[in-house]
Amino acid sequence: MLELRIGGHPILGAIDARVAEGDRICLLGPSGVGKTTLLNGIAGLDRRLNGMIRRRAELRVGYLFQEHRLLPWRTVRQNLAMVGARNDEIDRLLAQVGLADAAEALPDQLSLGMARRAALARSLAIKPDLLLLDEPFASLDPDRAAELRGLITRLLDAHPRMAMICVTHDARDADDLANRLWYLDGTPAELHWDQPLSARTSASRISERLRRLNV
Amino acid sequence: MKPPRWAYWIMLPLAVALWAAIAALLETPLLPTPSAVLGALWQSLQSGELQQHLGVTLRRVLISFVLAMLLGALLGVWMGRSALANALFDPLLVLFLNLPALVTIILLYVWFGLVEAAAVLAVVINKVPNVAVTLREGARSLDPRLEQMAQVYAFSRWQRLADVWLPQLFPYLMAATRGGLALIWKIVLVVELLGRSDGIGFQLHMAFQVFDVASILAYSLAFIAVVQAIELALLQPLERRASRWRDVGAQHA
Repeated sequence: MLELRIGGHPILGAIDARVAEGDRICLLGPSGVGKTTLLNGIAGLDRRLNGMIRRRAELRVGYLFQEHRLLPWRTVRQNLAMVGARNDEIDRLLAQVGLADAAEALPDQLSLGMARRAALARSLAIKPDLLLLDEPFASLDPDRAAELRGLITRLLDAHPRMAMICVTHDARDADDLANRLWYLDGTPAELHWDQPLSARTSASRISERLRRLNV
Repeated sequence: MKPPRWAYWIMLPLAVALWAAIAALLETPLLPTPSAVLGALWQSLQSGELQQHLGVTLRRVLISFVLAMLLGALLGVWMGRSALANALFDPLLVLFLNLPALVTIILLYVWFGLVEAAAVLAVVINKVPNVAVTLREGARSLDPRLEQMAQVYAFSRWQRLADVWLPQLFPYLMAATRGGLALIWKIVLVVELLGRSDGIGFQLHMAFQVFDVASILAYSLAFIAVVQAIELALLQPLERRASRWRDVGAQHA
């Protein structure tokens, strides 16, 4: 559904990769290397990448930004309605992410974790073919992070054809969520490692591989 | 710290009392007593003169305000979003910001004659640069992260305008409105004084010619009352309504 042939971008170096239906990719790499830039490019937000990232026609992309980026002057329900969700869909989605009671709340009334789940519900509301997650577990305490990880795992199981690219720092996330690993490093950043994960690939083995790559 | 309530009710009565004392002492028509001013106000209210001229002036204020806000907001947002537009129009903006209102009024009256359109146009030309500067600031402060969000989720033009931009521009629109009304009604009076035969400015002019200070003060009082009424009845409720979501965030944070 997605073809990346990147070259001559100021931050991103030569990158040649493709994403297929059902791919669950964890994108790892040191901070500041350009992971978010790549994600933005895939979402169509970086003009310098025009033509280098080919998306299947009509590809629907849901994007969970690092910040919730809900409209603070609209309730959670209105924020979901804004992207085209019907009322019954909104209720179902909010129940799925555990926010059934927060539909009429304003984003600033929610905790960080709740706001992120509301934003996740919005990214699912457009019935995405490709879900982009930018550090979804950042700044959450370990319990909340584990909860959200479980939620995303369940959502992925419920949508087997949906592809996902998740930027993360933590190899354990890859263990739980991914069936493929991208490792971005260098200046300009190149895709050093594009690896399918088997059931036997464990977090410790990923970490070991990353250590050998000097992470 | 909040000052006590009574603090708001000290200086104004004191000023009126001082005025009354001096007026009583001097006994001259050039400084009428407060009651004489109220008498003049009552008289022009009864004759219907006040309402008629106030209505004419308010209509001019309203028309030029709407035009100036519309043009100024469009220009300002465009300049805030486009570096090219800013480079093209900024020198003009500086020129018109520093052009005295009186010059615009005189020139337009000279070129177009003492007509209504020239009067309104003069006020609009004076106000548009101020609105544009304020709204340019607002457009520059638009959150680029919300722009990206709107693009990813394919917001329509209308959604972007009404749901993403307008709430962010609202404080700037309010500031332009506040400053706008204060400036416009003052300029409208000058415009009326120089070239119209009705309106408060014209009436002030007539009163000036016969040194009728009581009428001058009476008309001023009436005007201040109307402007305050607009502020209290229209602007403040509008502002409270539109910024409700902010209070929620502040409470939570």
